[in-house]
Amino acid sequence: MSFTLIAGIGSPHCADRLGWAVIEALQAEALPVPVKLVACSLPTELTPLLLDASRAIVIDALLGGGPAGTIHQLRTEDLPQAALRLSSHGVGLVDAVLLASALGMPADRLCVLALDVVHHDAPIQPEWVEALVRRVRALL
Amino acid sequence: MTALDPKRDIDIQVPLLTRVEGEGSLEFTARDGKLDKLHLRIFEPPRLFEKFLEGQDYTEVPHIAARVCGVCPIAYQMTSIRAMEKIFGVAEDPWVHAMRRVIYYGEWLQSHALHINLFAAPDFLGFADALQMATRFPEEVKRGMLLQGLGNDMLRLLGGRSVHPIGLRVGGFHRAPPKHEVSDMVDKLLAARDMVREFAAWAVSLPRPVDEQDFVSVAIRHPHEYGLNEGRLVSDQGLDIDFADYPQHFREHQVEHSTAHYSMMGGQSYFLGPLARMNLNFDRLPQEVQDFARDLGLKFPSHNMFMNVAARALECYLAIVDTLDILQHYKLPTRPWRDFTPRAGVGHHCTEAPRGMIYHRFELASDGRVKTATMIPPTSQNQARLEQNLHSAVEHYGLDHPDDDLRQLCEKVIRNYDPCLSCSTHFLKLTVNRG
Repeated sequence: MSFTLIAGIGSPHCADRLGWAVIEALQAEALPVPVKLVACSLPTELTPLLLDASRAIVIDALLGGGPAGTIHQLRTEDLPQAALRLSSHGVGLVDAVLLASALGMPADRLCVLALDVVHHDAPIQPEWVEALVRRVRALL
Repeated sequence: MTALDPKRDIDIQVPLLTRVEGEGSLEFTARDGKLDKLHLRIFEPPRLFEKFLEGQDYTEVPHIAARVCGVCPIAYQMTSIRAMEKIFGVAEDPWVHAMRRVIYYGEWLQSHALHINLFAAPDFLGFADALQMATRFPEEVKRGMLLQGLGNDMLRLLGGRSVHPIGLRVGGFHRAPPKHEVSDMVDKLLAARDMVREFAAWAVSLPRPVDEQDFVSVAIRHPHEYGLNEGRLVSDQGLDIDFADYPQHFREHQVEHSTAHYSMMGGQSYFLGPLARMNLNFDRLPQEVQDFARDLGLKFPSHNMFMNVAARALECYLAIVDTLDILQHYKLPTRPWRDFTPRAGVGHHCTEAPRGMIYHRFELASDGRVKTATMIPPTSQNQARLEQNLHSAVEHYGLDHPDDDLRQLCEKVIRNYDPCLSCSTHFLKLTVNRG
């Protein structure tokens, strides 16, 4: 059965928890299409999931220049095409996507929603989560 | 190909090694046909965890120690917990012992599968990186990633999460998984049994270089089990000691080019990790794993360093076979930990991290606070051996090869140890000379 993967990347700490918070919020929503909601701790967990899904929306916190709360909607080709360093201490979202692409994931499968939290120790704002949930709904 | 002049000046600098854990570089110079410098430079700054632990309550230690490494947190948690349990006189409950093996196997599986799949295999198959290899061997790479994921699932079952698990405590575990969670895990393991055999057979079939080295294997040996978290420390040259006697036999020292200590046993380098474990404990593997190894044509002990990948692959199979055996007989305990009363003392313990034996010593005050802590990771213990290996591999290969081939050889030798450079920078002694 085809489904849309919605994966939130994060850890238990401060703004990095944003991806998980959005997945928790989506679990309480009635969504219009079959979805698989996953809170990932490690970007390496993402690669096999990206290969299984017919569409994928990945949510992550981003450290950018602000303003805080800005959502960047990115396609596969928008991600930096840097060489894969592959230290398991250092595998990030880009590495996971590069690997999935090399393993056959079509470029148009993926949409990344990255919200600028500006500081990694920023507390998660409820409006950030609400804005991301609205954006996910709009994409489904 | 015309041989190059081996007496030429050779200057090879790899400023940042890839496909290893953490940050290090290779420095290689030769003059007049002789090696001048051949170093694995570990330049990650010292991380001072042992100092951070001083003054902390014993209950905080597993959580802080886990932060040394995102890939092998169980090694740090388990070793510190057992060292402190020795101080408190906690005898390990059989249920706790079995579950500790399960969670440790989860760590081995995720770490080994990642290393074989994405770090080592590109070397053996002649690819510059894992991305290139993934386009040619997609099914193999996917299979390795699924096994890595299964290892993370095993960590979550008992640890609550795969990164820096929170389920372990002094005395046992905070929570016993309910039977339905264990049953789901058994189903996953049964489904992965053929997959891990195929994965291991593939890893063993990779075109391994031959690099025969003279080294001393050191590992934990248990009377009945494949040495993991209990037993004695043994070597193939007669060492057979209690963990508490580690400081009498092993000494660390600093070198100029590395923030990691070098560790020596009786003044000699020694070798830790999957191949050392297989060399010393093949007879402790479950019969099914021994038979599988023989079917694959593997023989231990082996002194070909590149058999490390075969040993790692066999340990992936062991992780699933032994975990299945434990979880298929799972019973809920009355309580997943044992009670104890904190008291002052000194405790030592060793366990087998994915990369090899790790040693911890803790001194606690009567209120359970840490007075001193020592944590000696496998990579720093392997570093002297690794550099000897680099020297002898290059001397055997010859300096009449192009610089790029020499660089590739050195990187291959380093990666074969699966070094964790972040873990290895455990503490730097600071001497202040004031005028």
